[in-house]
Amino acid sequence: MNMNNESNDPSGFDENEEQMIRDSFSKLDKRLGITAYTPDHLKKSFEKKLLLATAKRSLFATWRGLWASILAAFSIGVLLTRFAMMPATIATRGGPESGVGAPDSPSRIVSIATGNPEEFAFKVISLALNAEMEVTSQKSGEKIVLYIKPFKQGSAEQASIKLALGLDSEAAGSISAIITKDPKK
Amino acid sequence: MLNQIEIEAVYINLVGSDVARKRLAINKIYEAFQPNMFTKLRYKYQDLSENEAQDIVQDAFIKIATSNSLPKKPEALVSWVLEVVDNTALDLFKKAYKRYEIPLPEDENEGDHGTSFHFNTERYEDTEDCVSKGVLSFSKKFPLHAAALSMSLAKKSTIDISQMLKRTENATWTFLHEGKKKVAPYLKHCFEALN
Repeated sequence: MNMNNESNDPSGFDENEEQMIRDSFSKLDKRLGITAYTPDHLKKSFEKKLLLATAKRSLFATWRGLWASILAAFSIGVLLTRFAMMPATIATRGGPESGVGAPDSPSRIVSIATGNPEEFAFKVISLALNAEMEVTSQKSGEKIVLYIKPFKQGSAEQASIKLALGLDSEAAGSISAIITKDPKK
Repeated sequence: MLNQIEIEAVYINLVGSDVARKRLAINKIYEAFQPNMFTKLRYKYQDLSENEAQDIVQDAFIKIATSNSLPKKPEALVSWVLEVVDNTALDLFKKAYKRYEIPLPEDENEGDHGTSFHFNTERYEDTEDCVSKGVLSFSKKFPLHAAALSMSLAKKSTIDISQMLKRTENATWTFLHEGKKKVAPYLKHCFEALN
């Protein structure tokens, strides 16, 4: 075989035989799905997979940070209680109404009906990640719920995602976007 | 394949902190290296469906995004990518084979297939059919040699083939030479019958 102009061919095939071998390899490549260039449909599916993988990773980092904060806060709390707040603890012990926790600020909910919920969700995730925000996604049937934060008032970087979700520029805090399929589209 | 300027641009985006640019870099890496990596892996793992094999190779490229290590300089980018993707893909293919209870392909270096080969006496429709079956048998016995020969016959550059094989260019020539010697016994009888 005269491969890449190499001489001293050890196989000893003539030109016709070599062409037949080349055709057979080419057929086998086709059967195995091997192509010279990456097909467009693979590029698109890879883009989507990558988007989801990076979104998941940012969520993982968030959870790790949250756990670290809780542990640190707990440790400091224990220390303070032991060494500094002991009299106060004794004084308030037994009072059932004494512990009042600050409630979490509620997340605003936005409902969106669209022809292709998945496509829309990918677009929103992409915009959110580009604006350095955190996104959590959940899919149930044709319904996708995205939990996005933190929205900042008048942020220029977040203008495009606010526009996509139909929010005004003063929207702030966290948003739960429920994306459903619009039966009319 | 990426040229030097593209490699440097991809490297800067990959190691930087901008998430969107990092994603662009990984998409570019996938586009550039998927054909050769898929050729190499697909020749070895032929028993899965094409879609499943493509899925596994994609998942292996996704590992680049989640890997904790990064190449230290642009010159190390290509070898780092191929190492990460190759190792991840091999693990994933092995898991898939185990899941379907398919026996794993033999290692090419186990035994001396070249000298002990005898073509089977099955009937062939014609010479073309005989060559196709010979190439298929060869590819199952020597998948890496077959992948390299396939790329060489498809006029891929020696640099492409050597990257895929993780060998130097000289070692790649030797490997292709060996491949040509190994494939001959699988096909000679087809042409002898013709003459």
